[in-house]
Amino acid sequence: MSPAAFIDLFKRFVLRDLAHNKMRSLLTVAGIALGVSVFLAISIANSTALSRFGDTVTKVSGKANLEVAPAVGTVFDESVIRDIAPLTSIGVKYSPIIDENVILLRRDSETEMVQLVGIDMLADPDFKTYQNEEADAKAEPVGVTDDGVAGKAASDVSVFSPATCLVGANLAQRLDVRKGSEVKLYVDDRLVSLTVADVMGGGGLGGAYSGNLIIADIACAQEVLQNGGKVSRIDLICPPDASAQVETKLRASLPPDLRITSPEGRMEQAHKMTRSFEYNLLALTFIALMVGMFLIYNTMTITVLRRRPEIGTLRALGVAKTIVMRMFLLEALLLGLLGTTSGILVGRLMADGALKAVSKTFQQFYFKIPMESADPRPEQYLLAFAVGMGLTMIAAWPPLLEASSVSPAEATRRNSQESRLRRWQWPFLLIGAALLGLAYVLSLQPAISGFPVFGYLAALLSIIGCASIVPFLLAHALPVLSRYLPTLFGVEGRLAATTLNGTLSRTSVAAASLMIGIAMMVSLAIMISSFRKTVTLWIDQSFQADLWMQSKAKAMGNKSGRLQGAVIDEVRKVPGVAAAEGFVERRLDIGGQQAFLAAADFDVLAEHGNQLFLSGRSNKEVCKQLVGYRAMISEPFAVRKNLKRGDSVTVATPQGDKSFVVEDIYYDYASDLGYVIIPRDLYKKLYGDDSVTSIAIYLEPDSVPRLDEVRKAILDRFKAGRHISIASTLELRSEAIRIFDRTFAITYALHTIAVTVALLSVMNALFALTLESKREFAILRYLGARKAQLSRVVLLQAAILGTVGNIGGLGLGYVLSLLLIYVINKQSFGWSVQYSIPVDFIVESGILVLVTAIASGIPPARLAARTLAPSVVRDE
Amino acid sequence: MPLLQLVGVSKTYGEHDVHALKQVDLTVEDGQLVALMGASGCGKSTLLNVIAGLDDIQEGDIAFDGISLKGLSDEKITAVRGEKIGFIFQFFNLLSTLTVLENVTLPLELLGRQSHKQRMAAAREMLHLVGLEDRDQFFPAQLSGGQMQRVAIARALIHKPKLVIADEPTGNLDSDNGAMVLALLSKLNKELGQTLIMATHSAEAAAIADRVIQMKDGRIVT
Repeated sequence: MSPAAFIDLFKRFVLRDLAHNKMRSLLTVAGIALGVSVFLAISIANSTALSRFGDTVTKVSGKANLEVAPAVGTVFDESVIRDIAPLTSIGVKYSPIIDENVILLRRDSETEMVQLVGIDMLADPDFKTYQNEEADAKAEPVGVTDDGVAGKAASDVSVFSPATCLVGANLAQRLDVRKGSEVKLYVDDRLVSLTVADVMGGGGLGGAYSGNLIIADIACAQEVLQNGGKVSRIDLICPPDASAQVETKLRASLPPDLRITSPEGRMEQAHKMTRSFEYNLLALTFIALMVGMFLIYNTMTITVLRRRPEIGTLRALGVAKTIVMRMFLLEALLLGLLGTTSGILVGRLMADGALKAVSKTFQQFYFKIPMESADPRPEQYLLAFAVGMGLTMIAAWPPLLEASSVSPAEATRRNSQESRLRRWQWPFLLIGAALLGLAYVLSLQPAISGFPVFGYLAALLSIIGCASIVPFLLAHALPVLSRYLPTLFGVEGRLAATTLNGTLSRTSVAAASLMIGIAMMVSLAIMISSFRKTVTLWIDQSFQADLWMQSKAKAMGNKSGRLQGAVIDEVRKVPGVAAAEGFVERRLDIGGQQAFLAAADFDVLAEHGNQLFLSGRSNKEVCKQLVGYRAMISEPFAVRKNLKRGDSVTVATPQGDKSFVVEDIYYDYASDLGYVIIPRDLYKKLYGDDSVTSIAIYLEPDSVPRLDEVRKAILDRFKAGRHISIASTLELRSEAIRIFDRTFAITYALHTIAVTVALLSVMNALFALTLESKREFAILRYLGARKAQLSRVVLLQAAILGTVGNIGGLGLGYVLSLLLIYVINKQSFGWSVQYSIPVDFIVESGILVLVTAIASGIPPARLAARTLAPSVVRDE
Repeated sequence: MPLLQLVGVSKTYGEHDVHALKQVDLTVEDGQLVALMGASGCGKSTLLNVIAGLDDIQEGDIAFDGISLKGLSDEKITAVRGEKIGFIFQFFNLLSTLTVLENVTLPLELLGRQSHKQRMAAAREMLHLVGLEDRDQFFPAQLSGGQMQRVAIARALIHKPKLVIADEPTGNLDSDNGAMVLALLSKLNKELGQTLIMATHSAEAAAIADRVIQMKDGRIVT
């Protein structure tokens, strides 16, 4: 066949049919578009979060190719410069830097976290580029002047004056800050003021943290943070050929608790840290894609089934199998192209919203980088296009094979496909059972590099396995329904059930689509509910203190906000306070992975706390043992590091690496990065740090009812110049639940999308079924059926599909929830979650889905009622 | 009073105003067996459809069993059709997903008439009349063409309609089965006294009729 003839045939045979069935074509395109758009939006959001981090690392590190950073905590003693200085002889340049979170108090009395970057204004120009705002506008980098001063801003003497700073352009613009303005910062429990010397442009360092930063001379920054002699990092520029030599020398000379890494290494570490969260989020987008695939499969299968006689006629007229296949392939490509392209456009529009939804989680749990607008990369569009088209082709392949296998003789037999499916229902059942068995085996396998590959595979196989069982279940359930439904719904009940049974191939696909959509919803609902219940229980049981005290800076979100250790003694003196327990936490680099090192007063915790341990031992029993080089570790840390009771964990300290015996593993849901908690008295000796990040305050039993009075008394004691915050356990609990709900907000959005696509699939199937049943409807009209009766048949079909989808969805949802909770979540984050089924939510959603499924039958029901009997018979 | 009376009925189709029926006048008495003959496209099927109220008309009036169909709502025409008219088609038009028994009971079920037990008894009686009582649990695909048409006849008659409309009832059958179906229709017409209007090309079918009407170009010519 010549290309021109093929195109003519394609136009007449395929395009006209697509145009004739506009609604179904539109539904299919919408299904693909939805899947692709969600995938693209989430992947852009994920990559934006990381690229913002990378961008900031690059801008802050500048030309540095090595950096010295602490293994524990965020700062270290700058005296190590003595060990680095000799390296200048081999061409190494170095610059100390402070890079810390501070809380900015805005004019509207709200607070926000910004970055305080302290640099050596004299040494640093070798490392970074600087622009002030005016220079930026003229696109002329101010850069570095010959005398080593950073541009106009730096040449302005005021930047070296005490308590002065530069601010990023974005921050200045948002908060209307100008040269000469005053900015107020909460640092630990103090409020510090700085005068703005100038506003930085968006290029170079001024563009780090999306321009939401404050830059000060390092001495000023140390003054602000009150950590004289401490720095966050020392950046180094090494001649490329000397890099390895420098690294070796530094390792030999620097204290053991310092790490020598590269900016790229830091980015890699950030990627590792957020990987589980990202992958899990991305995996969720596959829900929408998978249901979209079902929609394509559904549409193409139904098209092929409906047009079998016509395909047979074409074959009889001499059209080759390959031509038939090519025509349907082109149809799938066309639908895929339309759906994918519109999905990409919509996905780009959705990306900012998705970023907003995930950025809070990134900022809460991983790193504080502003993420205002999405930053898509061209390859992401290409990937979304490839995913959309690829999955369309995979989904369309079985119906394409079906179309090409139609023989002229077979096509004239109306029910050949149905009888074939009936013959295949047993093999399908066995295949389904085998896949479910294989899923079970896979679910027992460990994660690969911390990623639950086998868990996801098991989920996928469970979905395919359950979908394979659907034809068998329907073939046995529908005849039963056709016997009993007439009692409730008259002849329409029987007609609905028998018609569905007569078109089992279409019915199975529609029911399976809905089943998968509902299963996703059910499983995610169970996971979230279980998680929420677990966290609530954990807070209720573990958080025994009555009040929690922390610095204002920490309360406003700066994790490193501290209080002096002496505050604990002050608190203990307040009447009504029975005990106060100090807790300090610092970032910990352990084997290249981020975690937290914390220290607690175990003697107080033993008497008053109620930490829950995996071993089942009591809080008192474990805490009493926690003296010397013994530690308790959180469950996520134990899972990530594969540690158990009695193992040891090595932590870097200024006095060299120290090993701690794992006394026990405690349940913890505060972070998936994990905690190692050691006795605070030992911590003080090892790290020379007496500060605490929070204080748990236990009241005398008779003071508990007067909680607010005691809180006021403590606040009064620290009124003078100290900015502290005291929350009750109840307030802490509400805050934790608020953060929890925000973290899972996007998950709710995703499962709503999955169910929407599934319902589109049901509507699609019902349209096809109604068109297919036109002849039957016409006969019924001849026999005296009223329009309302025909509508009722279609609505009952929708209700049956909705019910079957719901029941199947519950079953599959249960299986998926087990995999999510006990395999995927456990291997990704290491959390033990207590299984809990949100019965109310599931019942309400089930009813909603059923009602929506019936509502999705309304347009096809109208179509059925419009059946013109003579015209259909004339078609015969 | 005649069972059916058409006066000056005209029917046109589509945008190009194809005249399917032109000023048709027809009177059919109760209990008559009428054969409607003519070449393909002469308007036989259209005439049957307008009699059943399935197609609307542009001119004239149709009175069936004393009721004028003109101006009746679709709901009312459907009720008249369901209660008083039975259909037999050339291609049988049984519902493939229903058993023989279920196909036969369908008109009664759609009417919501009688109890389940009574419907079953009536259907079995009809199947006995057409000689298929032993096939009641079969599906249409398991029957021969002649058997399917006999099921269709049983379905057309079960609710005891005043008028049975048959469109080429033997058109899709071989001569033996065709003869058997015609004999059955004739017998039932005599025994049950129902009026039968049958569109046909077959001389054998016309032979059993009380009256033969010839159509040409949308008009009754004899």
